Amino acid sequence: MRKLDANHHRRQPDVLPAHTLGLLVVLVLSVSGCATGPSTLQDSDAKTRDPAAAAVLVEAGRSAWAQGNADLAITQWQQALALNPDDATTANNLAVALKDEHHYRQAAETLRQAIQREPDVPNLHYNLGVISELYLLDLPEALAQYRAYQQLTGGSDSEVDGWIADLERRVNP
Amino acid sequence: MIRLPAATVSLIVLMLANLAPSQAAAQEAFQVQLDRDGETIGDMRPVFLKFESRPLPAISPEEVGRRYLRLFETSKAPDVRVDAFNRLANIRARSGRNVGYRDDQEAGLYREALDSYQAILDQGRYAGRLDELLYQMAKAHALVGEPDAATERLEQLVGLYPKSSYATEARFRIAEADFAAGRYTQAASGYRAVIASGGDASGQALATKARYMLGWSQFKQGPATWADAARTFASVLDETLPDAASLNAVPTSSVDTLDDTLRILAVMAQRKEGLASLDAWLGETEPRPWTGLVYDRLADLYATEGQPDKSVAVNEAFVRRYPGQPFVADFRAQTVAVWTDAGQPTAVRHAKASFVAAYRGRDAYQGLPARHQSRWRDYARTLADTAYAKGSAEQGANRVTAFDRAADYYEALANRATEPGPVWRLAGDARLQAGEDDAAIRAFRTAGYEVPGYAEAADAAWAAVAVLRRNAPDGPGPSSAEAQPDPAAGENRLAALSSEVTRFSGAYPQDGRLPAVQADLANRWLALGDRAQALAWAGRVLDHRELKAGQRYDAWLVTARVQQADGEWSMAERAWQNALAVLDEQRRARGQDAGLDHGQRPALVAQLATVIYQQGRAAAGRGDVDEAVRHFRRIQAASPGSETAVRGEFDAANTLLRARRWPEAIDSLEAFRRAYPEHDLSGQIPEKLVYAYSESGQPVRAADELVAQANRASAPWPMRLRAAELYHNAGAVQERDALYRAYLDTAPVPDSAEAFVQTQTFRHRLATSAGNDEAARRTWQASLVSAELGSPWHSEDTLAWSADAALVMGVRAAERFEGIALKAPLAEALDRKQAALEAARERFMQADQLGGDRHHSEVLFRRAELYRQLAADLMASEVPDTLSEMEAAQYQMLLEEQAYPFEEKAIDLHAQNHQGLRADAYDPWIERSLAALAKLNPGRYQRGLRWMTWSGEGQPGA
Repeated sequence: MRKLDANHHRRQPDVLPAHTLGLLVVLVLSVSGCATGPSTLQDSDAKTRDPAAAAVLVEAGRSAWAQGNADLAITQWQQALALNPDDATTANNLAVALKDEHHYRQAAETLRQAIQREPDVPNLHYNLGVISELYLLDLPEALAQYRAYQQLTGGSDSEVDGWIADLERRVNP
Repeated sequence: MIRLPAATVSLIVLMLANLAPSQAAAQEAFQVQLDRDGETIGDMRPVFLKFESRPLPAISPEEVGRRYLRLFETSKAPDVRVDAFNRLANIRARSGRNVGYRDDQEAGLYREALDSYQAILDQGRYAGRLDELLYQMAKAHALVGEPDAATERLEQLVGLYPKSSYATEARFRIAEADFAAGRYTQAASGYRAVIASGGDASGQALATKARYMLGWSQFKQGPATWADAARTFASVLDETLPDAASLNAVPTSSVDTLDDTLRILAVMAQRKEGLASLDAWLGETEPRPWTGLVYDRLADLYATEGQPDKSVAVNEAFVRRYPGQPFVADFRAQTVAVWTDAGQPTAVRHAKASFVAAYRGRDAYQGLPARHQSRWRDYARTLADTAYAKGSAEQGANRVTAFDRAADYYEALANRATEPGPVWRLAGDARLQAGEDDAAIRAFRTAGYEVPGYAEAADAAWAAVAVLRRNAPDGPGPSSAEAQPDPAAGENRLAALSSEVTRFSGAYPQDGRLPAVQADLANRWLALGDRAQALAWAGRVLDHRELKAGQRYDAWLVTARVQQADGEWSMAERAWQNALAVLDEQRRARGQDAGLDHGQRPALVAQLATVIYQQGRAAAGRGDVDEAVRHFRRIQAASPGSETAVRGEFDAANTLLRARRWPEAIDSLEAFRRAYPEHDLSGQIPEKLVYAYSESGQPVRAADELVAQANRASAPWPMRLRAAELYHNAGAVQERDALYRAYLDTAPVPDSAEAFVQTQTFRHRLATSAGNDEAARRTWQASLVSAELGSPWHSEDTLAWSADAALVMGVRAAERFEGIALKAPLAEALDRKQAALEAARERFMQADQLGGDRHHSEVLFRRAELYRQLAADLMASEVPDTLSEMEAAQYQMLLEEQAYPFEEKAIDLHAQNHQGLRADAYDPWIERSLAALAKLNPGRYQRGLRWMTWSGEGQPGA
């Protein structure tokens, strides 16, 4: 996996220092009793759900992201999503982070799972459409997601309408 | 008198020797000796007459005789005197001594007695026996020389007293008188009458004598009656010699009679028809005990009369007819004697051979009496010696035959000889001369080992060794077609010799000949390839306390060779040194060199050097480096300056090299090169030094060595390129690059993929190491790309290197392209810019061609950027000042129209690059193309992902 540049800052460090968050994450994980991988967590039943712990991890991920530590941020958001799979925001932002790290297919899959749980979140469809179009070269999927986005937003985005029109020509020349 | 043959004499002696002493001492009453043979039958006479003895009186004969003589001399009465005289005569006869009177007195006393006898007769009365008186008177007449008167008295006695005890004797004496007077017919009648008379023992004795005389009487009558005579004589012999035992118990008194009987029988046969007459008279069937005596006498007779053939015929006839009879050996021996006397050496030799052959068998020989055994040995030795001498004088087959015969006789004689040792040795010599080596060896062995006390036994035993040694092979044998070697036979012969020498050494351990033959055996076994035997025999030589220098030298040579062949190097070294020591000792001694070949010394030294060298190799093989080096280096002391010594020093260095003892190995190698610069082995030194330097972490020195070596070589580049590689590994870039450049200056044309890769490697390294020399780098990069494009061979490395170089050159060209401003005059600037574009594009295409996927996305991006830049530069190009506003607007539109295709080309190339995007395969050049597309075609490519805001927080990506 390609490392981010150490000087790459996405935002100001307005959260707890990384080492403090690290300790916090360890504490949260020990409390929740869950330390397995994301896919397992996402498929887990209600007993594994822990939105509070997830929130902590989300915050830790944000801190890591802000410090340019994309790998740690992604890991923590994945863990947070496992503890709280219905968190569409975390799922969306995790997908954006994965795309930035060039994990296009994983980003798309994260969005798909999030859409399954929260199909009415327009940005999930929007982002899945962009990733499918530009990075997976899956134009039909992109067309479907753009359409879903327009449907959820009431067709308010004219730019997206233009994309849909272009895609419809390219998919069905 | 004829001389009797020796055999005859021996027969008679035999018979006499068996007489009992008492018999020999007995005396006859009186004896009348008649003449022996004359020239004619008429001259021939019987040998004697004898009368039997009478009992002696109990008292001393001398005393009785003295009394009777005194009575005879003192008495006047005739009858008393006669009685006394008769008694006195009887005493003398019985005692055999001159009792009463001396011999010279006897005739006188008888004359006096005759007077008394006559007086009694005249008186006509006699008190005693008248027949006795007549008998005594006849005797007295005979004694005083009046034979007729004596005969007359005897006839009176027979006539008056035919039954008198004196009648038989009287008749015998009458017949004797007839015989003496030549009246043989009357004598024969008289003798027959005596024979017919029979009577007591005295009468039987007279009958025997009468029978003998009857034979004579018949003989005297002439050949017509010889058959009768022969039968009569045969009856005499039958009576005297009735059985075989009687042959050994012939009374002394009968010896002459028997001898004469035999003699006259032989005479008759000889004068008639010889053996045929004898056969006719005696018959040929069952022999009588005395038959052999008759044959013998006849053979003697022939021999003495100069007829040896007939004599031998008689002998042989007896042998042939009566082989089981006694005296057969005598007859055979007599044949030898006859031929000897006759001066017939060939016949003598045959007769002796016949004798020897007849008793060659053990039983036959042992059945011989001692004198014949002695004779047999004498004959055998004579025959053997004769045959040996003949063999020595002959050639060819005759020589072989003669020696073979001699050997037969010697062998037959040996065990019967009193000193068998020399005879066995002679047998061995004869066998050897006859070419019968095996038999010769057996004979020599017998003489050498089985004859106690034989003084020359050792020499005889040695002769067996010598024969086997002569026949033993010196080596494997010839290899010609005519004489194919038989290794097994050769080995067997050598084994036989070895066994013989072993036996000899056991029996004669101190014999001075042993060391030489043992040394010889060692050499022969070695030549035959049996090293164990060779070593063993050499060891036996060296066990001797007293050795000649040559023997010690030979033994050490064999020992050295065997141990060298067996790989016993240290022991072989000791042996070679000992052999050399012998040589050197003898050289110092001068003149006592025992025939040693001092010319061999260099060869021995060479062998010594070789075994030391081999010890070095063995130690090296064991991994004992120090020991190996020590051996290799000490060769120089043993054989200074020799090739082996030089090789030893070389191998010492090699051993150190293999042991990775680099400093010592390098020192040794360099020392060798200094010492032997012209030696062939010095040619290997550089390579070994290179290896040593390389392995010991001194690649630059290794490379220097190679360069130096290359400068002397006719084909230097292989070594120089190896040196370059060593320089490269050592980081000696300057030295390396100098060699690379020099090599590439030769414009090498690769003839293989490996060679091509090598030259590309050199170019790549030169380009890489150019440092600040940009021109050089560009040169080598261009050369690298050009060579790669023109080669049928490629490797991943050369493709990558050349693709990288092409890309770099493309980037440089793109930079040049980018730096060309489109200024007036625009056409000229545009031409330069298009040319620059084409140059860059070409390099990018080369990079794409050579690198494949390696640079594809970058090449697409850069190619797209060329067109995008051109379009942008066209759009931004300087509008000529001379245009009006309208014209300027039209000019700007024209530029846009010109730029548009380039922008489309750029979009197309970026889009191609975007299509190359693969999931989860980040490619920065595709990302950069996507970014470029977002600007060139934002409606399709300008997209941004959207972060979402967590509840209560700001958007993280904002």
